[in-house]
Amino acid sequence: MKKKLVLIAAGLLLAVSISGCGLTSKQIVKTQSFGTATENIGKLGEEEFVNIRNGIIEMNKELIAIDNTKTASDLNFDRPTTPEATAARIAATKALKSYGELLVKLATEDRTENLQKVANSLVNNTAVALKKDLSDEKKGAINKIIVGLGSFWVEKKKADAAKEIIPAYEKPVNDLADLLVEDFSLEDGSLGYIKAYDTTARRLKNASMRLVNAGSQYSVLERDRAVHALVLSEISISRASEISKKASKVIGSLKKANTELVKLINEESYSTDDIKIYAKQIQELANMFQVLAN
Amino acid sequence: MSSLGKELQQTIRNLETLRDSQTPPSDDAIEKLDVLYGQQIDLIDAAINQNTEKYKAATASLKEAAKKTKEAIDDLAKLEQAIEKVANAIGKVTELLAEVA
Repeated sequence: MKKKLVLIAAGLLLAVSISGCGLTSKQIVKTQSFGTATENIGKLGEEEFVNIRNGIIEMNKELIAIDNTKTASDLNFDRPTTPEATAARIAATKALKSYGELLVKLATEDRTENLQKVANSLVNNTAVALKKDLSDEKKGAINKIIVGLGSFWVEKKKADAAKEIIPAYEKPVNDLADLLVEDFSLEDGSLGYIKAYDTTARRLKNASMRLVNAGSQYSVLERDRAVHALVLSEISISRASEISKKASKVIGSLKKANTELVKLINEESYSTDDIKIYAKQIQELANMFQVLAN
Repeated sequence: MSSLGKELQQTIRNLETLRDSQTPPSDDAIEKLDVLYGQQIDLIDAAINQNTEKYKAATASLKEAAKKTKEAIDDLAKLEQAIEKVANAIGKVTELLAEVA
């Protein structure tokens, strides 16, 4: 009997010490917060690349309709946002979404355990977006994810995986963020998606202005079409400006918060203000996308 | 970022200011802007090698166009001269783009 009690006590002690090897409550909360925000930026980015492409096609249709100097050879409606170019961008946003989703799953009680599916999506989309395979070290961290039923063993293994994955993924996440920076920049000389969207809108505005300002030279029907094009172009120019401003801020915060999370995982006492700011900015961006929806 | 892209953007911005300062806007300015917007889209779509003579010539030509359009904003009498410089820059960028097409 005494021997049995000793064994039970030893078992409990082992359980307590193993639980203590998991993440601290602060690490859990911040990993969840960062993960949710990153999952959302991935989702928003994915939708926005499609919206930009659709917007460019729509504006080019209007341009061809109102500008009779354009010919059949000008009919590259989606240029430069071709399906291939857009798919490459979507891979980058999907990788961020998967990374965020994975962190949330590792930091919560979630035992639905499709962790491996999320992990595979992260590895594959990161490789496509960055055009290179991940190092064995990073793949190793991902492969340590354990699929199984909930127990403190699993919680500990999840924590161990988080502690390996977060530092290992610091650079790939920053590299993915850098890809997005160019695409959401309106700075002089930038050559990304939002610049193409803005330029298409300005071109449409330029063409529609000529008709709208031409007085009675054009019929009411032609004028109506030109006014429609002018309004579409003005809305798109303002949309591009707002999205660029907010997205650039959020992507900058993503990188700061990413660095902060790595430090927090390695050193519990590290300040986490940047993660808080990042999570708040993602919410603002999501709200703005709703307002500016096509 | 490419300096060609920056010079192109500056030229576009100046020409837009000139277009918007006139009632009705100059047809020349509208036409040249249409071509410049098209070239900007082409540049986004193309992988341009910056270490070529054509790239340097196009950049220098756009720099001159940006300068002259800025002067025309302050003195509209210089608009015709500025439009000529823009046309010249358009030609150089067309040559550059033809190389990667």
